[in-house]
Amino acid sequence: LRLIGQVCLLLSLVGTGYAAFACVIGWYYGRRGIVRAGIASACVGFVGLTIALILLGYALLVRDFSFLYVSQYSSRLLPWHYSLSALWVGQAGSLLLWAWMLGLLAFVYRILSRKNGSPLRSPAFGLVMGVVCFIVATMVFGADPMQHAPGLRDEGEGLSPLLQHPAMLIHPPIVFLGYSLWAVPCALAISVLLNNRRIAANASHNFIGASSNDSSQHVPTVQALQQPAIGADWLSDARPWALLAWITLGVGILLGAEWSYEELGWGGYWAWDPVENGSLIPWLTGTICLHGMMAWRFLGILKKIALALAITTFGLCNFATFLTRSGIFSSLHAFSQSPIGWMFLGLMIVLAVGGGFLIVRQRSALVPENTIRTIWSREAQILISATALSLMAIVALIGTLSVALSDFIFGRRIVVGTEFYNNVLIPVGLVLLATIALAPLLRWGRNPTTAQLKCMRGSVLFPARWSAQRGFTGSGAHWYLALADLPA
Amino acid sequence: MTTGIKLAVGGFIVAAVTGYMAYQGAASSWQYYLTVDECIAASDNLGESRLRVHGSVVPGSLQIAPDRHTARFEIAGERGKLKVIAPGPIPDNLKEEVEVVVEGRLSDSETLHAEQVLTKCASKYQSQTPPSEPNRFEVSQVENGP
Repeated sequence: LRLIGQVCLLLSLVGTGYAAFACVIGWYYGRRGIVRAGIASACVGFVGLTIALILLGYALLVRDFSFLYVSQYSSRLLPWHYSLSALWVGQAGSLLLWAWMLGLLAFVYRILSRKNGSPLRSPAFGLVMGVVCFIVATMVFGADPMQHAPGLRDEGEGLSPLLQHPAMLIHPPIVFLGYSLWAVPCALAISVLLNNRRIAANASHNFIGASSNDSSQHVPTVQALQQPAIGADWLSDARPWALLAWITLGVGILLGAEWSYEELGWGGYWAWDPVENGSLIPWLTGTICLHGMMAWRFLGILKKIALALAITTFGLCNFATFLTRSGIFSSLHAFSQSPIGWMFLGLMIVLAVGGGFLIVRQRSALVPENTIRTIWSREAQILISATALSLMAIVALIGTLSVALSDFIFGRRIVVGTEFYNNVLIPVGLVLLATIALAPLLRWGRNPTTAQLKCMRGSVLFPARWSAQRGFTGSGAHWYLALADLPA
Repeated sequence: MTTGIKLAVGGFIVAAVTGYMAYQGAASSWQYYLTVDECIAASDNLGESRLRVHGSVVPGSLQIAPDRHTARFEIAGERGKLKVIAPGPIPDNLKEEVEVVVEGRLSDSETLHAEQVLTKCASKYQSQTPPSEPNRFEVSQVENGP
């Protein structure tokens, strides 16, 4: 079984690697045959991954201790559902599950987008396959789930009693799914940037070709060779995926918080632990990304923010993986230390540098179509809330990195306490509260109507009056009531 | 004043207030993160500093009061040990050989007065024996991020 599994993993490595190459290159140069070969190769790679996953799941269920992984995380006394949950407990198993989820999502995306005929189908599919190939490579070269256990074993180490909890069955796979889902908006964002570059290159090539054939043609103008503006079409593909990813990751985080609350000694719902922060930061950037997409769709603004954050959010999902694998952070969670963490950091850097480069190169195609005319418009409130969320993400990132940064700068490991985070939440939370309440009542691109102003006034003054009547007594409440301009 | 300038000024004010609050929070809550051995080695210089010390509970040292409002135990590093006096509530999963993170201050070079005891998420079993021998190897559990 192990041998079959290893062959399947190798097949998957080659299949997904070729698929990534063929789908992107074939699409860029307009070679449909190469794209088709890439898709066939992806099918082979995904089948290999599926077989490998089924084999490991089967080995966990029948307690085949010849697998090192099974002997490490399962035992004969362990109930079958917890034994199966060991699939996402260890490093190799979780990587296998993650790669399989990504592969599945790539095919789901390809099938669902068949009807709309988007030009981004092939490159986005190829890019997600590239990520699958990367994860399979980390397994093949660093964490083989099919590794043979040394010696003959009748019993395994089993699962820690603390992890034998119903949340173990759903919390980790939901977080994995949330991370995986962000790969699709990220791939679409990179694809739309590449697509524009391809269109500009083809237009330029055709224009120059035509000019050289017929000297009577006009000399191409600068405007003609400029990159075409990137439209909002790609958002109809990307936004549903981003929404689903945001919701899934949010549910995963909440489930983790609930589990942490139940275990006395894990710091309650939220302890601002690096691993908790690692999942919160992409959720925050994902929230900004979603709102940026909305502003782009309605007004053609915040384009660079939407694209950059679609790429950054998936990059930060890889940062969370780096956190759990590198061993350089002080966390309440204990994880294995392996070079795999640094490989994920490498992927994150590639995404950041590559994405940044593409956005800078395409900046003329990302010029806003409108300006923010008034602060009392929906887009202005979205921009303010995006600033607040960014600040929260930056603070969480600095706090998470505090041990590594202080060790690097001062030679001493310093951690910041919960006050560091909680202090920041006060101003940021108040700003967010105000913008969340205001934005749905405002219009895109214009000042509010009289009816909207009345509604907002009522929304502020009715609670003020109610609070004044219930919460305060005596003359202290008079100014509130005067503000409300309502009879006391 | 144009809308862009208004938004920039507003953003700057929010960023400045956030930065100031973060600084205040960091100044009042920062702690040294040390292993037991590092803590013992630097105990003369640590004084009243707030510490976060990581170690494992020494077998046979754990004494929990019947009402679970105090506990005394020792935590060990690779070479040394520290006594810990912890207030309640004591975590249910505080047991011998469990990895803990103790937040508190040193009262002398050997005793740590805890303000909080956090147990590590049971994510890693590590054998004391070399990994090359059969049945003895490092076992890692729960890779919470993928």
